[in-house]
Amino acid sequence: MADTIVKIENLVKRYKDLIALDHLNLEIKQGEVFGLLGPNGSGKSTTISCLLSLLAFDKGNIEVFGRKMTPDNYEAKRNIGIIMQNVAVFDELTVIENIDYFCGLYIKNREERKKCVQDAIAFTELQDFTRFYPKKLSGGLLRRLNIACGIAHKPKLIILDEPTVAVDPQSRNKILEGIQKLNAEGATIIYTSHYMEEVEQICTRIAIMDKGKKIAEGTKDELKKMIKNTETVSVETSAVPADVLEKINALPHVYSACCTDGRLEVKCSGGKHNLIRILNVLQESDLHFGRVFSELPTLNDVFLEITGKALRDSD
Amino acid sequence: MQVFNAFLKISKKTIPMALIYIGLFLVLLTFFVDSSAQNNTFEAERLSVSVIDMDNTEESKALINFISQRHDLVEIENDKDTILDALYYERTDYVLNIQEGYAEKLSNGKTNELFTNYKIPDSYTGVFVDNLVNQYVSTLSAYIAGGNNMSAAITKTETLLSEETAVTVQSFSDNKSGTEDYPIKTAYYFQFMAYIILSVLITILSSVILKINRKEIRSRTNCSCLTVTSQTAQIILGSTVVVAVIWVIFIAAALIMNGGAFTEKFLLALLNSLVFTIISAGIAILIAAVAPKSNVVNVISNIVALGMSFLCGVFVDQSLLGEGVLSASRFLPAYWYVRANNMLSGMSDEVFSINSFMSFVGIEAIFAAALFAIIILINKVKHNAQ
Repeated sequence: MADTIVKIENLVKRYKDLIALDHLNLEIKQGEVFGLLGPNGSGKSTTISCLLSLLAFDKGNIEVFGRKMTPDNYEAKRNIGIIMQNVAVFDELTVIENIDYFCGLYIKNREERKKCVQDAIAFTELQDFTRFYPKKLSGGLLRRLNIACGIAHKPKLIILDEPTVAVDPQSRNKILEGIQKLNAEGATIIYTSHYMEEVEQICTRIAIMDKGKKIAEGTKDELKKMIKNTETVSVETSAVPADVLEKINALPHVYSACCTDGRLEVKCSGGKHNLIRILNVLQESDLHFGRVFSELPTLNDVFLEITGKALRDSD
Repeated sequence: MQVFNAFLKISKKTIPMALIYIGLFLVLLTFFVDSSAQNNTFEAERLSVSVIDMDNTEESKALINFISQRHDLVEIENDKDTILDALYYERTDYVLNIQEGYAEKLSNGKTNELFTNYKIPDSYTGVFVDNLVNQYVSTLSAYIAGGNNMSAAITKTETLLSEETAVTVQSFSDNKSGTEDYPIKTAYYFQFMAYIILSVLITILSSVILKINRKEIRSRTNCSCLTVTSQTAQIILGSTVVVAVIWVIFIAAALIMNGGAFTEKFLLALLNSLVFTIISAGIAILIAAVAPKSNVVNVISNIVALGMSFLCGVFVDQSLLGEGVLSASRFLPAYWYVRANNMLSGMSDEVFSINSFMSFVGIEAIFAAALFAIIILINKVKHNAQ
C-alpha cells in the first residue's frame, strides 16, 4: 500500500460565524494526482492554506510526510512546492532571477541550485525568456514562470491552487501536460480547481467539496457510480406531446424525461440500447428530430445529484 | 541570503526615482545657498525721471541737479500724449513739471503750486519721487525762512539731504553666514537633507519592503523552509545596508561641501543627521507596514516629506513660522533636527551649547524609538490577524 503523504483529520476552520471547513477528512497517497473540486467558496483554498500552515485552524489535525504540520515544520516544507492561484513573482527580477530566488529559499548550494533552475526553465519551456521581466511576459508565460518558481527545488509534494484561472486554452493544456509529467517523475500532486474537465482529465482521485464539507471522494469512475444517472440522451426536436413523454418515461431504465426549448433530455440509469428505444418511440409517434447525443455522466452530474445544483451555477 | 540579495536588487530598481529627488534637492540647495550669498548691503534704487523746466532759473536748475544725483534724468517733450506714452511704455517713471515762477514763489515762502507731475497711479515710484521733491522743497523753505539767502539755502539743503544713513540688511534670522567651522553652505545642506533623506528613504525602503512583503510573495516565502526569523533578519539587514549607503553618500557630499574639514560642529551635524536618518528609516518602514500598495508610496512620500519639511522649518525659517505651527511641529522629529542644525550654524537666536544640542538629538532618538515600537506593534497585530 502506498505511503500516505497528507492526512487531514476533522479539520475545522471558522471565520467568525462562517464555517469555512466543516470536519474535513482527507488522505492523499504517494504518487496520486489528487483533485479538490468544488465551486468558488467551497473551502478548497482554505484547505490548502491550512495544509501549508499559512492559516491557523480551530480544530483537527494535519500530517504531512507522516509528521504533524506546523509553521516550523521546515523538513516537510522543504519537500513541498506551491503554485498559488495568483502569480507570486517579483516584477523587478528577471525570469531566471525569480526562479533562482524561490529555489534559493530551499537550496543553499549554488551549483545544485543552478542545475535545478535550468531544469525548471527547461521543464516550463522558458529558455527563450530567461532575461525577460515578468511584465513583458504573456499571461500563459507568466503562469509557466509561476509554476517554475514552485517546482524548481524538485519537491515531492506539489500543490497547485487553481493554476489555470484566466489562462488561454493552449497554455492550459501545456500546464496540464506539465502536471502529468511531474506526476510521472514521481511527485504527488494536489490540484484544486472548479473546472471539472481539468480535474477529470488529470486527477487519479477526486474529492468534491461544497460549503466546507467533503461531499464525495473517489476515482472519477467511483464518483460516477455513486449516482443514479449512467447515460443522458439528448434529442433536438420540436415540442414533444405529453403522451409521447409518458411513453418515453415508461421505457425501461429511464427515470427522467423532459423537453425544454426544443431539446428532449432523457436520463437513464443502467441498461443498454436506451438510445435506440427512445428514437423508436419518437419515430412511432411520427416526430421529426435533428441531432442526437448520448452522454456519459460528468462530475458536474455527480455534483448536481449530490447537492441539487450545478458546479458552474454555484460559482 | 536570498531575501537580502533580492532586497538589494529591487532597491537598485528604485534608483531612478531617488535620483529625481536628489536632483530636486540640488536645485533647492543651489537656490537657497545663492540667495543667502547675495550681497547684504543696501543701495537706493535709481529711477528714470523726466523734468520739464518751465521756470528755467538757477533755483529750478539746482533742483534738477539735486534730482539727477539720485535718479537718471530722461529727456522728454512737453507734450501730454508723449508723456503718457513714455509712462505707459516705462521709458520714464515720473515726469516733474517745474512751473513758471518756481523761484519767485519759493523766495516768497510759498510752497504750493510749484509743480505739476505725471506718474503711474498708486506706484511706489511716484511716491518715491514725490517724497524726494517734497523733502527738498520743505528743507529749502525752512532754510529760507531761517534767514538764509536762496543760494546758501540751496547749498545747505543739498548738504543736509546728501547725508546718508547706513543701512544693514538683516534677515529674519540674525545670522545667514554660518560660523567659521560650520559655514552657511554646509548648514543649508544639512537643513535640506531632512527633506531629501526622508523622500529618498520612503521611496526606496517603503516600496522595496512592500514588494518583498506582497501577500502572494510572502505566502510563497512562508511555505518555504526559510525561517521567519531569517526572513526578518535579512530584511532588516537589507534595510540597514540601504540606509547606511544612502547616508554615507549624502555625508560624503557634505564633507566635500565643507572643504573636507571634520570640524567639531560638522561632526555634531553628522550625529544629528544620523539620528534623523534612523527616524526617516523608521517612517519609511512604518509606511510600508500600513500602505496598501507600493504604487501609492510616491504620493505618501511627497505628502510626508514635503508636509514635515514645511511644518518644521526645513524650507522656511522656523522664525517665520507662526506660533501655532511651531507648537504643532514640536511633535514632529524634523522640528528638533532643524532646531539643532540652526543652533550649530547660528541661524537662530539660540546660542550654541552642547547640552542643548544633545537634548535636541535626544528628543529625536526618542522619536526613533517610538517609531520602531509602533512598527513592532503593528507587525505583531498583523501577524496575529493572519
